[in-house]
Amino acid sequence: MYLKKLTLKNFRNYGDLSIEFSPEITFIVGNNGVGKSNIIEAISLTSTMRSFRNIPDIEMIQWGFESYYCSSEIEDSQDRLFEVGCSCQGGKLRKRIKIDGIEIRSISEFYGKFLTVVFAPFDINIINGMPELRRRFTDSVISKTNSHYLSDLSEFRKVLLSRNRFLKLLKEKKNLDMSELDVWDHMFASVSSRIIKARKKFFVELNDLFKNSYKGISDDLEAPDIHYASSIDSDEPDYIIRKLSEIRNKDSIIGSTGIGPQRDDFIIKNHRNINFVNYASQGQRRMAAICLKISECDFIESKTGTKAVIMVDDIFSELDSQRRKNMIKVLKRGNQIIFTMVHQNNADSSGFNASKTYHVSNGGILDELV
Amino acid sequence: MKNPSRYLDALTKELSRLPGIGPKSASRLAFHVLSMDGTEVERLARTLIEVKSHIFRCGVCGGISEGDICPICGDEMRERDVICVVRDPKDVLTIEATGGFHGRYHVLHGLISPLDGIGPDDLNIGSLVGRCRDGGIREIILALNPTVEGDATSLYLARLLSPGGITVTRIAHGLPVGSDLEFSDSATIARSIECRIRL
Repeated sequence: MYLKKLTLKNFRNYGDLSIEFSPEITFIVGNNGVGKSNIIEAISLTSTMRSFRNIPDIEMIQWGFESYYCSSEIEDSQDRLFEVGCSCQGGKLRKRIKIDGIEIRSISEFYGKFLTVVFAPFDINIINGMPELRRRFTDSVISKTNSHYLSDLSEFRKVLLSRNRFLKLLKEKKNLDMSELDVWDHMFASVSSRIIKARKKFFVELNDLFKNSYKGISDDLEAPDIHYASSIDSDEPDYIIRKLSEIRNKDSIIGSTGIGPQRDDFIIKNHRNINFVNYASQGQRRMAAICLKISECDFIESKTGTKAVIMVDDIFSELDSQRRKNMIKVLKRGNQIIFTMVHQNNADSSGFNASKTYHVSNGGILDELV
Repeated sequence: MKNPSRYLDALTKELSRLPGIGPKSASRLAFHVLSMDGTEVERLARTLIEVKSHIFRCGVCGGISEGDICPICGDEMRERDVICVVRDPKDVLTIEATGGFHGRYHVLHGLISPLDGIGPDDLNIGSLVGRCRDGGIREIILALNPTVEGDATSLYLARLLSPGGITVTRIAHGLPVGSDLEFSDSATIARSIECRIRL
């Protein structure tokens, strides 16, 4: 699939913008702060319903206006037009999402239809940062290819919240019917089991893809492995119930659940079992983050048969020229690519048949460079 | 917009507390009441009060009743050994409208939901246990919504009642009758495959 046209109204610094993309490669060039990433942001919004930078809807509305609108027109896909509109009147936020003119009510009807992968400078936090960021990455990739996983996750969140609320009441020494906790344990175990199974399967496939892309892009001789680190040894519901009952006393003292998918993580290690973050340089970590994202593209393609739209948000400035070349080589895999960068001479578009370049200047003015 | 009268304002506020009524609809209804005949308004007010003063919870099932016991619990022709458990009195009407169930009901008046501060003790469960203990019950059918709260409540009741030798069943999850597989959401299809039956 590829993105043909993006239309924006009152979105961040763009009052009224319509931009057409090359099916192969498009460069969006401009100085810092002119709004290059806002274009990527709008595209990611029509793909996942939220900003890839986690910016709240209200802040994406252009200053002085009450609403924004973005739409993406897609080619080579069953669904053609993805629209997201949001208005804020009298402090009340309303968001409306449509696919081909039909309003969408639940995220699972929307997610995974217009497939995109964003490469951004802060991806390195997936490698360096808190486990929460790795879980978010994991969940978003699996959800893009598996809508059951998305509904399991939302069920899981509700069950976890309910169990934790019960534990908190218990902590406050309320007189409670403990057989209710048995029920929450049971429900927690059955939905956790489905999530852990899906994650296990995912990490086996991701690891192969990751090692492949790591070898292609880095000069290191040996590629590290991704290991799924679950807080539960088995994905069998009965086992999880047993574990929950073992830690029940501890859980009720703390007032929250000590094991489960909400505590999962993944660790990257080399063959000597040394943690990647302990030996890798900053540059190697950056490469590993890029490889993870490339594996995401490969994973999506292997599961859905669709090449996702790749967006690369200003990560070239942080790579040396050799790695830049390697990365372009690895990215040249038939997906549509949209780059934002400060200087175009950072990237070499030879080898692509069709390219477009836009120059963004202050005030959100876009000119196509021919 | 401020109402020209504090009486109108008070009525608008009361009406907007009803489910499905926003401030605009409430204001329209309030103006409508103002334009109504005096006798019509009195009749409406009387009906509102009568609904509350003449309807009680059935002493057996917890459903709505004008006496101590509701017509369904009092009906000698209905099967006495099957109880269908529902969340609200309104659900009784929904199932009755199908004409496909001939047993009696039990209304829980809610579902277990720690997030809303509702536990088993807040629900009409004690009297259900009592009905089962009194004997003569062969099967309990749980007809609760297929949500996290509905499933948790079903599981709780199944664990509570099954040890007494009563068969506890839950209504099926699956495709709506006459629907098209193509237009069903994937969660429903997945559930209906999980809950498939042998032919």
